[in-house]
Amino acid sequence: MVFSNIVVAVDGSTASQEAVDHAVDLARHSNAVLTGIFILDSQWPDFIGNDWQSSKGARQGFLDHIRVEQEEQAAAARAQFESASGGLEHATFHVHAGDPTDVLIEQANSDKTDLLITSRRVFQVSGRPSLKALGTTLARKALRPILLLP
Amino acid sequence: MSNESPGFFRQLPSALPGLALIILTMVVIRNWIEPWMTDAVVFGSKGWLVKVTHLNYILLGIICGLLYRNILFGGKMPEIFSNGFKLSRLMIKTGIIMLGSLYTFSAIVQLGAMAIFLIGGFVILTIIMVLWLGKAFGLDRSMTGVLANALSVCGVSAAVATSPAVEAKASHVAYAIATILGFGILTMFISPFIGHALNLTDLQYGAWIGTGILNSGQVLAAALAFNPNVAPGTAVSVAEIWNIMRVISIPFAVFAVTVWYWAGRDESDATGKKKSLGTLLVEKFPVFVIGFLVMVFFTSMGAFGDVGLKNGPPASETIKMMRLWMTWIFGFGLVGLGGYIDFKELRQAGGTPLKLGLIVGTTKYVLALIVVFLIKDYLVAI
Amino acid sequence: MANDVKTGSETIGAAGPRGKMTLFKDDRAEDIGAIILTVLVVAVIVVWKMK
Repeated sequence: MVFSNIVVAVDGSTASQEAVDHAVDLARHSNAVLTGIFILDSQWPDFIGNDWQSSKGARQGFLDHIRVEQEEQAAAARAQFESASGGLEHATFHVHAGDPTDVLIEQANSDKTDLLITSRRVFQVSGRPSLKALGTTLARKALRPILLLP
Repeated sequence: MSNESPGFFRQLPSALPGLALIILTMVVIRNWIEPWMTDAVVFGSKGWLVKVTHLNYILLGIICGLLYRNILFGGKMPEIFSNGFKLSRLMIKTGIIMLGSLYTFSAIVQLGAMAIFLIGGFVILTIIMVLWLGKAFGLDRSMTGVLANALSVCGVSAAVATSPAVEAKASHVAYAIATILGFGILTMFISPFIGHALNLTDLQYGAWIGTGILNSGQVLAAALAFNPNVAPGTAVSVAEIWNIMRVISIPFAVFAVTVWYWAGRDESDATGKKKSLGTLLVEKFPVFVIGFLVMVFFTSMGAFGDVGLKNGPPASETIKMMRLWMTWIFGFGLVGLGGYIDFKELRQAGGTPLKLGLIVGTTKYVLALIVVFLIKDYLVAI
Repeated sequence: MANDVKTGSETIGAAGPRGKMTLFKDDRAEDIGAIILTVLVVAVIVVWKMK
């Protein structure tokens, strides 16, 4: 099987380092296009949705606080991807926004993706509790090849 | 003013499908499901569902909301309904302001004093417990601060208000929120049971859940689940005074925890993060309380006729209709609340926040029950 | 930061409009909205029962 388009989920953590290293190796061997992705979690407003707030900026202040952390995470992910994929000719890094689980499943099932590589623990560094089940959900819903690392 | 807020009226049409679903749900529950449950024979006894499980339109509404989200829609509110569900908090707030028509000023003062006494005592106790356990479990300062406020004051609202000020990490806050929500949902469903089993009076029950349950919406739901009547002296009229006191105390709690947090840090990092109490009060004062007090004022002045106090003349037609409408407004709001309960998140809660949250939450819940029992003679009826 | 576009990298799907959980400008506006709604509801009831 030839993989000409490989996608790897990156979040800057040690867990994702292994996934990136594997992805870079594979891309190099099969001369594939490698895409690193990070997903800004858009589900936080919903997650804190049913609480009571009366003050002017509390909710937005909280969401901005979370967003800053996520953007730092995205920057770390980008740095991790760029340093690992240094020698590769076709390597790009994308930042998406959405529910990480949904976006990752969509990526895995896209015609343009021949192989999706990710750690089970990806996006947990600054994630909501349900992202712990991301790996399991992905394994269940993926229709195309995926490589799920611990 | 809300009218000037960009987009509110432009977004309103998009809220109609969700709103329609919420209203339809409540209408079906109150017109068909509740009457059916009252008559249904289960385990050979008529009305078992109502007498034993204490399921009323409030709990049924919440259950419907959470079934919609978690079962029917597979875990996420569809785009078409989401704006309508976002209006549910507006309804709860409106209902609470209308609740002002249940009190006279003297009743507010009496209940408020009792609430301050109980809430104050439990806030101190909770904070001491959280600080001590936080140290024992090796939790970092920012997380300890968030949990101290969340568990002592107002649940998720307090966690959200406190987190940025103490630089809490997203994933930590997420676990704290999941714990608090999970605990709240559990207590919301079991409290009416316990209350009836122990034969608590409305006043005792209201004081208990007002102290022991963490989140505003859940206090409201637990009160109406115990006694769906909205009238002076019912569970909801007591519990909501507790709730309002807690919402008012959020700015103070945020201030206290922020000061505590930055006292243990290098002062030079604190620029821009530390806010004065004055700023916090202006920023965070809950404006709905003013509406509530204006309502109390008009009611006390007799603007809506007799309120139907015990041993007094019966409630006026206007007051009766307001109370009926309140039950509907709360019903709508709580279907929406159910729609925000996400089992996916709750199932994955864990770690130290869960341990600490459960220990402190349960202690508070049980102790509050014991306290309302012990001081029942002092809990004068209003 | 996430929105910088460097060579060989881009941001897909705008980081999104800042997600809000209320149709109002903020939560204080929601409080004021609730007060206005209360006034409306109470006015309707009072007028209704005046007849």
